[in-house]
Amino acid sequence: MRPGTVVMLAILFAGCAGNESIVIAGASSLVGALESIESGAEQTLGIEVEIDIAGSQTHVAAMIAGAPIDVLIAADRTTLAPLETAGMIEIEPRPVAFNQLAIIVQTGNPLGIASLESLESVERLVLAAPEVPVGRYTSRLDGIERLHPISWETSARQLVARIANGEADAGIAYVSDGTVAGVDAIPLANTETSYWIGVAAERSDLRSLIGYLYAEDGQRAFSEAGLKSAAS
Amino acid sequence: MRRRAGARLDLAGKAAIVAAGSAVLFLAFPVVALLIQAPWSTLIRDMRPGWNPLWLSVVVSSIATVVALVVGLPLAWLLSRAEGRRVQLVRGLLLVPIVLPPVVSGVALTAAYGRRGMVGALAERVGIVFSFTTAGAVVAVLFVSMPLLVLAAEAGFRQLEPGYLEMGKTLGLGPWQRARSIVLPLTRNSILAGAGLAWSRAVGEFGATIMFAGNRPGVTQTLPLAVFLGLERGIDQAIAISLLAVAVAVAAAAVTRLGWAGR
Repeated sequence: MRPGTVVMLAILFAGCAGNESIVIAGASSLVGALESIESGAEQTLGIEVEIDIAGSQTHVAAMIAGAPIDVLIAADRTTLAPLETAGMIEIEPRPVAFNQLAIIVQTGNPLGIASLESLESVERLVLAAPEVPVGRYTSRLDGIERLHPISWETSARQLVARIANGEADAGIAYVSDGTVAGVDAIPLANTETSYWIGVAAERSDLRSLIGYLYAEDGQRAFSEAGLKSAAS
Repeated sequence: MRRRAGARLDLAGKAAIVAAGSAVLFLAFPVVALLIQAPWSTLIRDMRPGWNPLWLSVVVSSIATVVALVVGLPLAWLLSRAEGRRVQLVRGLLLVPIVLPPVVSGVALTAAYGRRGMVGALAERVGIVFSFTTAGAVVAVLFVSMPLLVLAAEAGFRQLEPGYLEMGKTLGLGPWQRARSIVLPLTRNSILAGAGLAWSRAVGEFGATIMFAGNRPGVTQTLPLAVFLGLERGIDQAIAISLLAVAVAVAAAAVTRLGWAGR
């Protein structure tokens, strides 16, 4: 290698390693909330925030493999367990926002679905795979074993997209998903779900970001996205 | 690499060797890493959820490859015989499914053959449903894999000496007989290589399948979908199922390579 090339490569790698911003990773159902938190926190705290949206478990696997994610907001407590086992969680996890399960139907509810029982006769029903958080919550519902989905979706948002584009007629995801165009959400009683925050590093700027998430602005971002705030 | 005795490698030659070595390492290392990280002691148990998806992948990809042969070979033949701007356009269109992100292919397939899609809505009226069915899984992999077969077969057809076909005509063979007894035997290796490529691509397809056909065990849950879900259950299971995919890929590559070498 010529000296010039070596210098160029060195600059390239140095560029990759320089990581001043905070990376928040979140579950697919948090996409709207995290987008407003990103811009809000940057304005209020003057820190650089990057967001990374994927299935919670995908983030966990990436973090264990060394991905530079500072804060993970997972759609359930179980998701964070492998990180805790690996000793990567610096602050005791706690809930930061809440949601609720809901039957998702096409806008206007053309099939007149009203309850979990009425899903038994829906031919084109989709449920979330029990491997992902929304699917874990769904699998604990009473009478779920009587439902026969035609597809097991790998995230809440993918499930909702199936119904929005007409491929499926009904499914179970979150109340907050009712904000997606083309679908309505029918809340299921007594099915509260919680988002847990896992902090994977001990830094002062992370503390102020966590403070922001629990303060008025952060909590408003969650409620505007259809979630319930931790304060209420 | 063989070089003439006594010849010294110049700087360019050395640079080429370094570059080539890095390329080989880069390509081979991830598979080696997978083997190193594999949970060997519990491998059989971790692999178990992969067997049915593996079988489904083989079935789906094989059906897609047969369909690709039936409609793709005539296309490849016409492309190899024709000239002109319109032919170039068709050839360009063939590249689209290859270069398109698979997830986009899935969205496009839904727009066309989904329940609300232009063709899909008509098909549903006569009782054919693609979304969340094995037929849909075949459509998804056919879309991304057929172009590979067409391109490989066309290249083979182009190398065919026109004299052989003339000879067949002189002997009084009809077009079907010429295709069967002259074209296919002489271009067999290109077709085999193309079919091998298409089949392997079909086995590996994830994005188009999950977007268009969904994830339904035994119906549309192919091997890559099982790997993805395995990841949600834990890295060991994902790697174990991945090893099944590696084994299939190695076998398919061997068949493809055989076709190529014999060309």
